[in-house]
Amino acid sequence: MSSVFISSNGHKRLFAKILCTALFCVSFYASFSQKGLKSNNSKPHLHLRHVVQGKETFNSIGRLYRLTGEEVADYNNLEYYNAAVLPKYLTIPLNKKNYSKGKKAGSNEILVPVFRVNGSSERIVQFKKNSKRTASGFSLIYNNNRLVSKFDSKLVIDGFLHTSKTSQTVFTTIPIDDVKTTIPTGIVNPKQELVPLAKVDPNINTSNEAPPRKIILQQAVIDSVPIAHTAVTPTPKIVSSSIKTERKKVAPTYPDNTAYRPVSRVDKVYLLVKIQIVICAFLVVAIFTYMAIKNRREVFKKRLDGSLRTLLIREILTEDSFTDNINSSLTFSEILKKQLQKKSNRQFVINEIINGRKNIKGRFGDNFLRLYLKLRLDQDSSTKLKSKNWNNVAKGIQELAIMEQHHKMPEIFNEINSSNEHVRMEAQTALVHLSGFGGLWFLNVLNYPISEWQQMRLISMLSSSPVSDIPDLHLLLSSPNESLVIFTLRLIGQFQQRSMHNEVVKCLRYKSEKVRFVALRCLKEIYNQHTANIFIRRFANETRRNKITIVKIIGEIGNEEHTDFLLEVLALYDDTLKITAARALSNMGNNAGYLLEEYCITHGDPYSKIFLHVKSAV
Amino acid sequence: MVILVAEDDPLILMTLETYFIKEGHEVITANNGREALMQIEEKVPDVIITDVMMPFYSGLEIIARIKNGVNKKIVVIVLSALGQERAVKEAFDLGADDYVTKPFSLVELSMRVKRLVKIKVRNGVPEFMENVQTTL
Repeated sequence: MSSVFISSNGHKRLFAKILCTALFCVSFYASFSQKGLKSNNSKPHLHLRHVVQGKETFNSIGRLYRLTGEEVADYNNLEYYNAAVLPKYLTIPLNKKNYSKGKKAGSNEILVPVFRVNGSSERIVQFKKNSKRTASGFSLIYNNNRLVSKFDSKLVIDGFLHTSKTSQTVFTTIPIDDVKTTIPTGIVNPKQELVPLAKVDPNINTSNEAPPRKIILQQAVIDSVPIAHTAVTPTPKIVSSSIKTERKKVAPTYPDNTAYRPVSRVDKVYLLVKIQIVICAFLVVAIFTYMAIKNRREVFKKRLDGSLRTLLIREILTEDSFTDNINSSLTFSEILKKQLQKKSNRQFVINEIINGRKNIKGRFGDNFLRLYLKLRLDQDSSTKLKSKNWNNVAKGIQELAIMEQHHKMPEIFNEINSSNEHVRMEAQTALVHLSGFGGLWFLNVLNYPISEWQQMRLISMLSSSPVSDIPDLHLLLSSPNESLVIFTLRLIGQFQQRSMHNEVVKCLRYKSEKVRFVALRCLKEIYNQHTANIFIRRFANETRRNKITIVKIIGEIGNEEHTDFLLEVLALYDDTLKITAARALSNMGNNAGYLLEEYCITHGDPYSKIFLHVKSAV
Repeated sequence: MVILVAEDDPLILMTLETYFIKEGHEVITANNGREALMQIEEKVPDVIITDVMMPFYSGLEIIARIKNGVNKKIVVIVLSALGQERAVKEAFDLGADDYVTKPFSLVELSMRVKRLVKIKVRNGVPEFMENVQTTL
């Protein structure tokens, strides 16, 4: 059972851990992937640079190097098309298909030796087509400088380029005897600069039919496994020797570290897809794990809540629950008893007890209160009053009020002038809930205005209190707090405190129109024989809104003595006042009604229309 | 006697269930209107104590369905909150037999159930006559 009672914050921490782990893994994977890229770039493989001539197509170039047009296009990050190649240069990979260390040639193949130069600091070596043969090799020229002497001692065959038979007129084999045939073994010292070369036959110029072809070989560092990537990607399959080839789905990838050989687009997309899949997998796992843990905790929480609730109900409905120590009645469930030591479980019990107290009355309802006290849950509620969180303070006040903790009223009273409106409202409501009209003494010290909603709430709560308990309110009518005066006037009117009539009349001299308006309505509730005359005297000095109110009230509390005043109002220019006065007259009895009819007939329009309007409404 | 208690507040639901079981009744519970109607279809109760406001179907809808179809002689008592006078009036129009306003007394509710069942017995409802007599 111990696993059931995991703290509620645990799942948040766990989720944070999972998220951190996922982020760490993703970042690690991403960096690893980047590292892989660097690694590949740092270990380039053989390739050569082909200068595109005339109307060469990918297919024609591919055939030349025993590759397909798609392979050539993919290797250069280009879209394949069966037309003249637009770029000036193309990078041609030297892989297992078109390059070997040995001299073994296949059928219809021609071998072109590829050299490397030890110690050369030059990056590009160009064979001049009309170079002369020397005794030890070929005459090589770079930037118009002869490099023969270097090559005499350092030119080394690295392998052989396999070309197609169709290019026989362009390439030709090189006499092996002319050069050293040392094949490099092992990992080459990185400081050594190796330049693989495809040798172009000097006789190329003799071929007048084919366009002059220039091959420039890109410097590359050869390591012991020069074409490792060919194992990862499928080798392209040549369907036939013709131009038409089958489009492969995955292009071969040949990493490089130079501008001529960027990482192919397919490689990048493939890598991005892999990263996205890994991220998605991590997220999915994290989300499912979090949801599983959350669901598990919710199930456990529900079980625990159900157990606590069952315990509570047993305690409430047991007749002799409270005859002895409450702890003795809890012994049937030691686990649940332990749970009451936890703050969250105690809060759950408080909530349930308050819920029960709100909904169930009588003997069993009182048992909720007893249980609340026996479990010392009132201390929890009191502790909340000291909380810095206003929400907790308001909740604590509410709990103490519902559980009728009268002795906590001083603590609640301290929150009457709280800076938080919600706390103030709860404190006011609690005081009124606990001691009815007696709780209104907070009005004497209240520094903040009371909202309209709070006024309605308090009056509603007080409506069930005995009226005899209403305190003397006349001091509140002189309060500088306008909302307090309005609330007091409403209390006087609601509970018909006729003894306050003269005090309320004084409020008609207030500067605030709203206070005078509420005072007029209050006087309507506690009126006497002088009230209507007071209103008539105030009429001339009042605002239009209050004038309309006065006319309405006189229609309700006035008598035949006030008909002259109403007839005077009928003569005023304001149509609303005219209609209000006409209604007031029609409400004041038959005589006033006849006077109204006579006045309207005598004065014609608009009075005749007003009369018809008032009569139809009646 | 079989009592169906339909109430979305688990505390009140369990309290009523425990209380009426202690009183010797068979109690069926439902924490929403849909579940209540399903329970009624499975086993027709003698008394239904239902809250007005519930998920899926309100207490008023349950009353309307019962009184229009299943069994017009089922005793229905409505649990209403203060200020739900209009709902109570509607419940009576639909055929509810009584109502209790929250906060309510368990003893008072039990008495009302017994009184209403007694009236039904007098009117001749044969299904649970014997049980009611022994209970009362």
